[in-house]
Amino acid sequence: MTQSILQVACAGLGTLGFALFFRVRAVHLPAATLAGVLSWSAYLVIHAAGGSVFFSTLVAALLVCLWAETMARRRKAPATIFLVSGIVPLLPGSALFYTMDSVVQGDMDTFLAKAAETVFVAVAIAGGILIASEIIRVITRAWAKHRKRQLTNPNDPRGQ
Amino acid sequence: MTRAEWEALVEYTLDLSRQMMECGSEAWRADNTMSRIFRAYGLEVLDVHTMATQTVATVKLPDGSHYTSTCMIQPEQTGTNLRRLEGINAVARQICESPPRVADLPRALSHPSPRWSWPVFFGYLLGAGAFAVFFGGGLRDGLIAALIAGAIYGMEQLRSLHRQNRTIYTVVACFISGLLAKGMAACFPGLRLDMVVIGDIMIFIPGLSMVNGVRELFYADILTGVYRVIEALLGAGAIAIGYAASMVIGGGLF
Repeated sequence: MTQSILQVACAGLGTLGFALFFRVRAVHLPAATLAGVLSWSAYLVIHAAGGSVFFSTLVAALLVCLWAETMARRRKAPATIFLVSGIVPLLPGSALFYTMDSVVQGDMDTFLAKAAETVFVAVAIAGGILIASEIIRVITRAWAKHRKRQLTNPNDPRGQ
Repeated sequence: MTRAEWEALVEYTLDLSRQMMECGSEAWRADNTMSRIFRAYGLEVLDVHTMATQTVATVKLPDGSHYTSTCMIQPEQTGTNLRRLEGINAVARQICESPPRVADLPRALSHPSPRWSWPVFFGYLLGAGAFAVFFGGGLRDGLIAALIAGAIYGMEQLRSLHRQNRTIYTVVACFISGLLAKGMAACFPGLRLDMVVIGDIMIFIPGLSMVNGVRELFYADILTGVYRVIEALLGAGAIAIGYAASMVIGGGLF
């Protein structure tokens, strides 16, 4: 538990560091940092509940993307600001290092396992973002249709 | 508006799209921005297409003629500058809400951000240091990773000044930072070299290219998607080569 709390705190600090590195405006730093905290907390919870690395990363990326889209609408800023910062804790930095290290050590089994993990994590992040983007797109379209119907026919019960 | 003014508007909008791409925007977002601006001025948009290296727009002018223009995007100029991206986004939104005269379009967009930035420097230190601890290192590992990240920021400054090839820079920077980490491990027994290196690797991981690339592939923007994915793979390969070389050579030195 202590280890998990430390990891979430470090994920938050690391995300803040990357948000500064990406030159995010000061006013968005808290929301960008929270995106990183959210992504790693979600990952830990799903992983502890028995989720695989792939599934946990996918759901965490999905949640952080939904958070980014929500924040983007609230703050009238591009979602990228919160999304790019928020996915940093999910990036396969450690897997990439051990892939490279196993090549240097000549350990081909570890190399294949870690290289596959690197690719799976990358695909899971992208997959989670894609699913969330589609959800947002469907909701946005439905909302736009609803608003249009409301404006053209205020008595239409579907528009109320 | 005269034809020269319409042409100036198209070129201005293309430049906006170029700058968005240079800041790390997705191609579809740049396309959307261009379309919205053209429509705000009452132009019929026949085609807008932003790729990783070029942006193109064809519009129908009020006299019925078609006008096409292109703008090159230099890969070496691209990076992640979310503050500038937000600024460009705000300008585009402002233009769409109340389109100004072409002569009055904001001109301050081209101003690049200052090369040296203390918040960015601090971001390097905090990012690398925190992630070294995040992956299982101790406080000392985090401090050393942060120290090396400061040196990486110095190298990044040199790269921007000399506009070096990004892949070659990544190999060299990873090699030097790997050697620094090896040297530190030799000076401070008990230091976890893997955690220090992992903290510093996080700075180089081309996360934005990878994520944007896969998204663009799924949205059938194949050309830009493939370009970005290859860019991300090249980046990951460059990190691996640089650090692996430092581990092999550093192993003999320290």
